[in-house]
Amino acid sequence: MDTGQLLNMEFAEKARRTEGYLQQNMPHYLALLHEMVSINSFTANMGGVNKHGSQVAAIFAELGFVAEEVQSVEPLYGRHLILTRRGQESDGRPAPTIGLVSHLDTVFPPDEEERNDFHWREQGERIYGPGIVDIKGGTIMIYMIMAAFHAIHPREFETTTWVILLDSSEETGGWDFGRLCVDRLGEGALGCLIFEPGSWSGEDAHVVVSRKGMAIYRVEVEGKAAHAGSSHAQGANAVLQMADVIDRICGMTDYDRNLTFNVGTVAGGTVINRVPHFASASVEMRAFDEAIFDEGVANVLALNDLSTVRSHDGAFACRVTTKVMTTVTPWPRNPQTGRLFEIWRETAQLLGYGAVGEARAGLSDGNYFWNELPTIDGLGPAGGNAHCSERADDGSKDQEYVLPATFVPKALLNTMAILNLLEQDHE
Amino acid sequence: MERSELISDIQAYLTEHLPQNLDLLRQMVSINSFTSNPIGVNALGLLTAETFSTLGFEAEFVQAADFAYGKHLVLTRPGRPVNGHGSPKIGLISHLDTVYPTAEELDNDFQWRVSGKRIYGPGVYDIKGGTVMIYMMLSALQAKALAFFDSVTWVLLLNAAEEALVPDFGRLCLERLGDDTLASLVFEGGEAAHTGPDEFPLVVARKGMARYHIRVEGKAAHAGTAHDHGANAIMQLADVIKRLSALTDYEQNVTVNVGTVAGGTVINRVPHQASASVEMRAYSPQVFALTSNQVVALNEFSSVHSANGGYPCRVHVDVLGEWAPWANNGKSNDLLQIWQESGRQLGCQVQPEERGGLSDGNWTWQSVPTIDGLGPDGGNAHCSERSADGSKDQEYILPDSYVSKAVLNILSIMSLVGW
Repeated sequence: MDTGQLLNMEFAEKARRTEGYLQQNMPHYLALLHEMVSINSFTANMGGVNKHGSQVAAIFAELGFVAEEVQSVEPLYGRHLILTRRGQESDGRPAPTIGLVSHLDTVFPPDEEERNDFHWREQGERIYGPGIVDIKGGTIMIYMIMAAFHAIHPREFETTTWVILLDSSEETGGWDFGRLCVDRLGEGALGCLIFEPGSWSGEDAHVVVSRKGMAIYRVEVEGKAAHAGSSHAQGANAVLQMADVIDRICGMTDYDRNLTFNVGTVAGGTVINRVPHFASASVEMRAFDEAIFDEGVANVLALNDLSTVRSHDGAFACRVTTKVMTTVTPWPRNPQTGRLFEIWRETAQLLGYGAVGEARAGLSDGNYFWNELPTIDGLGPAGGNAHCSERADDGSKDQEYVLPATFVPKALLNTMAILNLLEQDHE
Repeated sequence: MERSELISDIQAYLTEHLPQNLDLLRQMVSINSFTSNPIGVNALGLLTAETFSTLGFEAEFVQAADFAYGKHLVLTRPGRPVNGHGSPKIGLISHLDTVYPTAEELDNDFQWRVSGKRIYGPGVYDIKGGTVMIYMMLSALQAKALAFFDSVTWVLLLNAAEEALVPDFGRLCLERLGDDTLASLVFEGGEAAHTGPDEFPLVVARKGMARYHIRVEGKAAHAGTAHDHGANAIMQLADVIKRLSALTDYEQNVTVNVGTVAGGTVINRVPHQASASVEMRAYSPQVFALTSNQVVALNEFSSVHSANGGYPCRVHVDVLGEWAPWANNGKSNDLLQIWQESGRQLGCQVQPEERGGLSDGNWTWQSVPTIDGLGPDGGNAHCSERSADGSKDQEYILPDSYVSKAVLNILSIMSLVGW
C-alpha cells in the first residue's frame, strides 16, 4: 500500500465518521432551523433581526463562540453579529483564520408572511418557510460544520480561529458589512466562505465563484413647460427626451458580453395639457467583467451631454442628467477564488461526486471583499424560489423551500474541504 | 329714430349703467364657482337667473351629466312674431364655472381688486365678465330698443362645467338652439395683449382636441437573474412616445403632447407595466381625423419582446375623449363680416383670430353659425399667481372695453336680424 492509498483511506475514514455524526444529529439541526424560521427577520424589522441574532449567538455559544454585535451604519437596520472562537497555537504556529459568512435578514415583511400563509411546512422532499434557504439554512450549515469539527476533528477545531459573520441587512446591500469582514478576518485569512444556497444537480454540488456587479443610476431630464394647446411650440418635452434616453440605455444591453441594463421605473409630467418639463427614471446595470462594467458606467455617464429634443421654436434644449447612485463592483473569476474552488472540486471527487463552479447574476456579500479575502460562495443547502412567498394552485407560483436531503452531503463536502484547506496551509 | 341717434343713446345708457354692472360682476366674482365646487356653481347660477329675470327671462336648470358638477343654466325669453313672420332666434353662450379652487384663491390672495385700468379677480375675464356683457347688451336693448328686443327669441346657455369640456352641454346647446337659430354667440373674452385700444379680435376657428391613455403590458422578471425573460414595458412605451411625438406637424397645425408617463415598480425588476397620457390638437377636421387614426392604430402595436423571444409587449390605446375642431368655415366668416361692417361704422377694427384652446363654440359651429370672443378685453386667463417682478400676474379685465364692445355686439346683432 503506497502513501496515496493510505491518505485516501484516512480521508475516507474521516469522511465516514463525519457523515455518520451529521446524519445522527440531523433531527436536531432541523429543529434549530424550525426555530430560526419562526422568527421574522425582515431587513426592516430591526427587532426581529436582533432577536434572531441572539438566537444564533446562543446556539454557537455552546461550541465556545464569543458574540459581538455591531450596529449597521443604517440606524433603521439591526445589528451585525460576529461570533469568534480563537484557535490555539500548534507546533509554534499561530492558528490560521477562516471566515464563515451568512446573514440574519430575509426579504419578507411579517404581514406578507401572514397574507400568504407562509410558514414552516414539510411537504414531500421539501421544507417551505420564509428565509429557509436564503439564508437560515446556510446558517444551520455553518453550525453543522462547526459541530462536526468539534465532535470529530477536535484538533483542527481547537487550532483554527473561526470567525462567523452574519450581516443584519444583506438584502439591502449595505457596504459596511463588507468592511467589517475585512477588518475582523485580516489579510491572512485562509478563506472567507459564504453560505448562500447552492444547488445540487445530479451528482454535482454547485458553488459560486463569480458574481455580477451592479450599478444603479438615476436619470433626470429637464425640459420646458408650456400649455400644450396655446404654446406647444415653446415647450421642450422632457418625456420625449427621456424616451430617447431609455431607448439608448436599453440598447446597451449586450447578452454576448453578459451586460444587462434595466430601466426599472419612469415618471414624468404633471397634467395632460401641459408639455412636461421634468421626467426621471431609475436604471440598474449588471456585468461580470470589470472592464465591461466600467465601460457600461462610462457609457451611461456620457449621456450627461445628450440633448436630442428641443422646443419647436428652438429656444430651449432639454437637458439630460445621469448620476451613479451606487456601484457594487463585480466579483470576477480570480486566482484566489479559483484556488479555493480547486480544493472543493478535489474534495468532491474524493467523496465520489463532482463540483461545478457557477457564475451568478445576483449579488452577495462576496462582492464586497473578494479582492481582499479568498472567497467562495454557494456553500449552503440546495432549495428554490428564494424571495418568493406566493403560492398558486396551478403551481405557477410557489414559496421558498429547502431540500433537507442536501444538508448532510453539502456539510460533509464543506467540512472535508475545510480540512483539506487547513492541511494545505500546514504543508 | 336714426341709427346714429340710437347708437349714441345706447352708448350713453351703457356708460351710465357701467358702475352698476361692474357691481354685478363684483358679486359674481365673489362667489367661488370652481368647476368641482357644484354648490358655488349653482349659487352663481341662481344669481344669474335672478339677474336676468328682471329682463323677463325664464330659468331652467339642467344637471350636468356628471353629478360631480353643478347645473347648466338655460335662460329663455321668447320673441313676439312680427308681421306674421316667426321670431328670429339668437343663442348667447357663456359658462358658470372657473378654474380656481377656493384654496388657491386664498393662497394667492386672489380677489376683486381694481388697479389702474384693470380689474383683477377669479373668473373676471373667463368668463363672468362675458356674462355681464350679455346682461349689459340685453338691458340696453330693453331700455332703448324695446321693439327689437321683444321681437327676438333670446336663448342664453350657461355651462356648469365648460373647463372640463363636458359633451352633454354641447348636446344641450344643439337641442335648445335648433337649425333655425341665426347665430350662436360665445362670450369668451378678447385677448388684450394682442390688440390695440380700438381693435377687437373675434374667434372664428378653434383647434379640436383628442385625449388618449396609452398602456403597455410587458412581462416582469428579476433584472439580475432572469433579465432575458423580461419584456420591458418602459422600453416599449419609449418607442411609442417617439412615434406619437413624431405625429406633431407644425405645417399641418397638428400637435401631439405626451403629457405624463409612469411605469415600473422597483429598480431590480424588469417592468411589466407603463402608461402615458397624450393630447392631440388640430384645426383641420381632416388632419384631426387622420392623426387620431394614426394614434389609435398603435393599439395592439408591439416592437419590444423579451430577449428569449417568448413574450411580446402589447400596447393599448384608449380614447379618453374627442372634441372636434371648429374649422374655419363660411358661416363663421359671414358673421365676422357683419361684425367687421359694424366696426367700420363705429370706427374700430375687428380682426379674425384662430385659437388653440377650445370653447363651447366647438360644439355648435357645425349646426349654427358661430362666432366667439364677444366678451370684454382682458388677459392672464387661468392665472392666480402674482410675483413682485411682474413676471406672473393674475387674471383681469379692462372695464373700459365694455361699452364699445357692447355697442359693437348690439349693432351687429341688429344687422344680423335685419333691423
